[in-house]
Order: sequence, then structure tokens, then C-alpha cells
Amino acid sequence: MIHAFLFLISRSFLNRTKARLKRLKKPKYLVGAIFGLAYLYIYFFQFLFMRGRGAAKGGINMDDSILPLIGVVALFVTVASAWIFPHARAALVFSEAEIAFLFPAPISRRMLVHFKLLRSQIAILFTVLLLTLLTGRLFANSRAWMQVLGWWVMLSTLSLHFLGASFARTMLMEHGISNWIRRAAVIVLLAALLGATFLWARETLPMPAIDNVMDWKAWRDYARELLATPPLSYLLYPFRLMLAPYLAQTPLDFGRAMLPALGIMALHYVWVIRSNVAFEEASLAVSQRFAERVAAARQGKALESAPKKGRRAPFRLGAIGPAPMAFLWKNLISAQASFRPRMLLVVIILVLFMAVMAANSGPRGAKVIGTVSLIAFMVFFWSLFIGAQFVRCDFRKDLATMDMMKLYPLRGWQVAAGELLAPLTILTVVQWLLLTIIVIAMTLGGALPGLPILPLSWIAAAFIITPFWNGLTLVIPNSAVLLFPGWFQTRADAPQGIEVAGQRLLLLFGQLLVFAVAVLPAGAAFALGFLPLRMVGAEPIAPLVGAVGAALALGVEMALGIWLVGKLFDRFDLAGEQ
Amino acid sequence: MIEVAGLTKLYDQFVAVNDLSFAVRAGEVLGLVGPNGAGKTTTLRCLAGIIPPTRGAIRICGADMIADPVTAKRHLAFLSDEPRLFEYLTVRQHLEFIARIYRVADAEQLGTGLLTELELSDKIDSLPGELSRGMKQKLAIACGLLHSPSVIFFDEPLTGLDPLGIRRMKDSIVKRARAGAAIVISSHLLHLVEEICTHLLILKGGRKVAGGTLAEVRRQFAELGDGARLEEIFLRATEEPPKIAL
Repeated sequence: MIHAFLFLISRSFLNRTKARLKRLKKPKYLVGAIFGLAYLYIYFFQFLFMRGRGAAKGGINMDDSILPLIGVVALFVTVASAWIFPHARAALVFSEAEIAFLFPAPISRRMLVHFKLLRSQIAILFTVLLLTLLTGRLFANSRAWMQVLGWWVMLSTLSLHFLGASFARTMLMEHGISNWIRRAAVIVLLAALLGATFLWARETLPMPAIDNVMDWKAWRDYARELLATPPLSYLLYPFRLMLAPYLAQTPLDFGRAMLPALGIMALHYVWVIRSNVAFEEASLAVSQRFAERVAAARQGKALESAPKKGRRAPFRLGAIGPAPMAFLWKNLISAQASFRPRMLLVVIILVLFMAVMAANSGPRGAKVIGTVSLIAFMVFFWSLFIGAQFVRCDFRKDLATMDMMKLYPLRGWQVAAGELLAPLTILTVVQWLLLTIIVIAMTLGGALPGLPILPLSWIAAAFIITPFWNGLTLVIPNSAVLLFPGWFQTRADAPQGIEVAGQRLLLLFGQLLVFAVAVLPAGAAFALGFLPLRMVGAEPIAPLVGAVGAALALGVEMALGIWLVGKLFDRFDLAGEQ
Repeated sequence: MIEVAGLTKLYDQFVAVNDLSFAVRAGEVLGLVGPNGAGKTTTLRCLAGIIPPTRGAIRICGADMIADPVTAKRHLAFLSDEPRLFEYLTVRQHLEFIARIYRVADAEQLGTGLLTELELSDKIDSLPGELSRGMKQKLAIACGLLHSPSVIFFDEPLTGLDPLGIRRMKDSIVKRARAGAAIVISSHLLHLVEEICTHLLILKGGRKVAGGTLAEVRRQFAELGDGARLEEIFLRATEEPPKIAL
């Protein structure tokens, strides 16, 4: 039977690879692949044959490293979490096809578990490879192979533990022990253990005299001693064994460390295989949910989960009036999942309250206000460039319902304007609030630490420019999604691979380039208004006049952009792209 | 009400629809049938203005779909086999949105009537995710019918409906036709087409292979006999020519 499973896995892998290679005949994938490979080479592969980066160069000096401490504690927390957080019954995730073919087949439950273990090994091996590449260690030093195998044994054991824990949870539930009772028991046990350790440590291992709380070496030594002394050392012993192969310095050490680690892994394997738990029903439900997500994704819906309850409309939408307002209304409802005006208001009130309190507390308070205004300024600044990538309640989200929207008796520009209105409104409101915070902070006397105080006329200029600037930053990705819908993938079942990653990067660089060119006229318009006035000494109004000029230029470009997006929408045909 | 002349749709070199011409008048129900890949859905999508045709003319209630798509679209509704809904708008919000898009002044009254007729009144504040497949289909229908379209396109209208839903859908189609709507139904269910369609258009490889009233189509395949069932006609019309052995 294992042969059949291996056949299924290997053939699927080979065919997927073949399909990807075949896809390279299309220029859009070939260009993406070249770009993606170049990117991978620059960031990862050149480290394969060079000395690795940072710590990889000379290996780890165990005496100075806190890696073993962190590793052991991380493993302990990970394992404990498997007993506290999950609430579902054991559910091995199978695809719909696997359920359709394997569940009715004459295959034992144990064999199905083996199939899943085999599958999980592929994921683990891929993760190990990725981790090694990311840390730049492959071929970089003589310990690399030990670390690869160390990662493998650690991740495999953890994977088995999670599976075994899920089976155990299911068995407990079948015996009437609810999730909450189980959680309470585990938490009480852990609390008792930590409490006992604390009491014991206070008596027998007093905290060292540490002059400076920032003396992390002293803290590390104390923590090391604490973890190495019973009873904690007993509890953490299996985790030390799991971690030991990864930390081994010589092949001999590695061989010695690998034996117990493999033993723990084998025990876990036996535990999982001998657990005779009915997982089929829960697997079916999980698979169904997954299939629904994929089906939704095939219609172009984003990966976010479906909303659980209806959201309040931001305003009353009458039947008569400009059509773009209907899109604003619709998309503001949609945006409520990630952007709640009430939440923003609470943040603003809190910030202002803190600022007022700080203003009354002397020089230290002024520093706090300065920091707040600096953070507000930084968020404002970055939102100008990347804000449009976060607020996506426009064509980027509505790709799935594009067919439906094309039925509407509206001009393309009306739909385009409507679709851009919501993200434009959200971004602008957030940025205006940030500017308001800066103004209030400055009024309260907080200077921007390290930065000159911004004159109010510049802030007013920012108020004028932002909506038009945002309009332009939103027009570009929306044009991109309509021009290259095949490249703009947000779907769960979207094509994957280096070539697709390359396409995305190309798209991103393309957008940046278009934006850089598009802001030039606005920059020129600003200079035309600003420089002459500055030269004649009208400093206070110069930025305002410049801003009006820039806003006009951006406004014209935005209008042209909306017209263009409308045209693209009119001739958009997703079927022709797939 | 629907006039199509020389409709052609190409995807690169692939001809999805080839030089198709037909008309559907008020009160007529045209059944669009054909094997998989015959071009039925592409034809419907072109007629509804979802995708632009490569060549040819489409007029909906006298309005040219290419030159004046906005006017043409005001008169039509397209109901696809898979209801496409905004997952974050409730049933009521869907109707409000559609009312603004189509400028339906008495939308509240019409919407209430439609929801009652479609037995969705108690789901008015539900999201699509809370509705069954059939209910989603009903909501899509309510959205499609809110502006009282004169032309309705159905793409596999019975998909996912239970027997009662199927009966009601058939009655609704016939009722709309009797009220003067021109209807086009694309379906693989030949018994549905035979039961409710007045006219038939058989496509194969993007081309029209037979068309007219059911009686006219039967006459085109007279060799099958007067009482030939649509299934026999369809199979004969779309059968592959026998391969010549070399």
C-alpha cells in the first residue's frame, strides 16, 4: 500500500513540475521565472556556495550562546500549546479527491495515518531546506548537514506530537472530558510546576546580585542554572534531547545526540500509530471547509474567511443618486472587517488623552508628545507610499464579482470611480487624523525629536495634497489588476512557483516605476507655485500655493487614471486571461 | 427584443462563437443548447454585455450593446448557474445596492414583494454565507428581477435547486415570458428546454447547427419522425461525422 501512496505523491509532484515547466512557454510566465530566479539568486542561492552570513560563518560558540535555552523553552511551549489551545477533534486534512478515493478503499485507518505521515514528511523536508537556505548555512560550514538533520528530527517529532495530542484530545472528549476541563487540568499542572520551581528556586537558587537589570549575560547564566537544576531539568530533559542533534559540534557528538532523539521520535510514532481514533468524520468536515475555501478562491475571492454577521451600513443608500456612491457604500461595508471607524476614534481619543496628560508633566511629558507626533509622522509618511497596498476594498477585492458588475448599466468610469472611492476615503481620513495628531502634539509643545518642527503651512499643504495623492496611488494598482489579472493572484488555488513570485515582483516594480513617473508633473506644479513665492519672501503661503498646484496636477492625473481604469474595465475579460 | 447578427468571439486564435445570428421577441423563450464547449456561455456573456464580442451586432430592446451598453443593460438581467453575491452584504443590502445601480425608485416595495415571493423575507438580514445554495440562487434572482427586466438570460437555471425550487423556477420563467419578457435559457437539461422553450438554438463548435421553433427544428430533422424527442434531435444535430478509415 505504501507503494501506492508513494506513486500518488511522486506522480503528483512530477506532473505538477511538468505543468510548471510547460507553462514557461507563455512569455508572461517565462519573464516571471527569469525575474524570480534572479531574485532568488541574489537573496538566497549565492550563499549556498559562499561562506554563510552572520552566525553561519564560524558555527555557534555554545558557551556564549543562549540558543540552547531558547530552543528548549520554545520546544516546551510548543508542545504545551498542543494540549491547551486546540479545540477540534482529531482531523487529518485530506483533499476531497483523497477522501473520495482513499476513504471508501480497502485501506485501514492506520494506513491512512501512514499516508498522512508520508505527506507531512514532504512538507517537513521542504521546510528544512528553506530554513537552511534562509539562514545561509547549506554548504557554508562543516556543521550544515548536522543542522539539516537536526531540524528534520525536531520538526518530525513535533509533527508526530501534534498528531498524537490531537488523537489523545479526541479520546478524552469521547470519555466525556471537555476541552475546558482538559485545558484547566493542563494549565493547573503547569502552574503547579512553575510555582513549585519558583518556590524551590527562591530557597536554593537565589537570584544573583545583578547590578544592572540590562546585564543580559547575568540573566542568561541564572536562567541556564535554573533550567539545569531539578525539577525543571527533568521536565525539560526530553526537549534537550530533541534539540541536541541540531546543536552538536562534531560528528561524534551528533551521532551520540541523534540516537536518543531518534528514540523519542520512534516513541511518538508508536504512540500515533497505536492510537485507534476515529478521525474520518472530522476530516470530512475539515476537507469540506477547505474545498469551500478553494471554491470561493476559484471565483477570485480573497483568502479572508467569510464574515460571520452582517455589518451596519455607513450611511443610508437611497435608490436615486450618483451610482459611484453605491460602490462607496458597498465597499465601506466590506472594509469594516479590517477598518472600524469606532476603533480609530478610540485610538485617537487615547492618544490625545495621553498627550494632554504628558503635556502637564514637564520635560519628560514633552518628550512623550514628541515621540507620539514622530510616530504619527512616520505612519503618515509611509502610508503615502504603501497605504494603497493595505486598503484594498476596490477592484482588487472585487475581481470575483467583476462579471456581475459588468452587467450594471453604468459607464466604465462610473464603476472605476465608485470602486476607488472607499479606499480613497479610508486612507485620506486616516492620514488627516494623523496630521491632526501632529498638529495637536505640536500645539501642546512637543517637538519632533531629531526633526525640526514642521511649520503649520506645510501640514496644511499635506492636508490639501493627500486625497489626490491617494487617488493616484490607488489608480495604479487598480489599472494593474485589470491589465494583468492573471498576474495579480490573491487566490488560494492560484498558480505557485518561482515564475509566479517573479510576476508579482515585476508587477510591484512596474507599479513603483509608473508612480515615480506620475508624480513628476505634481512635483513640477508644486515647485512652480512654491519657489517664486519663497523667493519673494512669502514663506507662509508658499507651501499652500504649491500644494494647490500639485493637487490640481494630481487631480487631472487621477481623473485620467479613472477614465483609463474605466476603459480597462469595459474591455476586461477574465476568461480571456485564464 | 434581442437581435443578434454575425456574433463572433475569438480568444486569440480560438473561435468560441462563430457568426451567430438570431432574434428573440417578446414572450418567446429561446433554449440555447449544445455540447460542452459549444459556446453557449460565451454567447450568453456577450449578449449580456459581460464580455465584448470580437465581431457582430447585438441589440437589446433596440439599444446597441456595443455603442450604447448602458441603455442596453438597463433592460436585461443575467442569472448565472452559480449565484455570485457580495459575501459581506446582507440580503436587504444587496437589494439596496442594486436599487441604486438600476435607479429603481420603488425598490423597497418591489424588493419586499420579490422576497416574499421567493420566501426570503425571514432572511433579510442574513449574509450569503448563512444561506443555503437554493436561497443564494433565490437572492440572485431577486437582484436580477428587481428592475423588472424585459430581457432575461438564464445560464443553467436549475443547478442546485430542489424539486420544489425547480418547479417554481420553471413557473417563474413561463410567467415572465407571458408577461412579455424575452428569455434565453442555456441548459444541458433537454427536458427543461422541451417543456418551457418556444424556440431552440443548437450550437456546436461555436456555430449554429439548427434553430427556430421546436416544430421548425423537428422539420429540419424530419428523418427522425414527427414525434422525435429533443434528445434524439440534439444527438443527431451534434453528432461527429463518421471517421473515414484509411
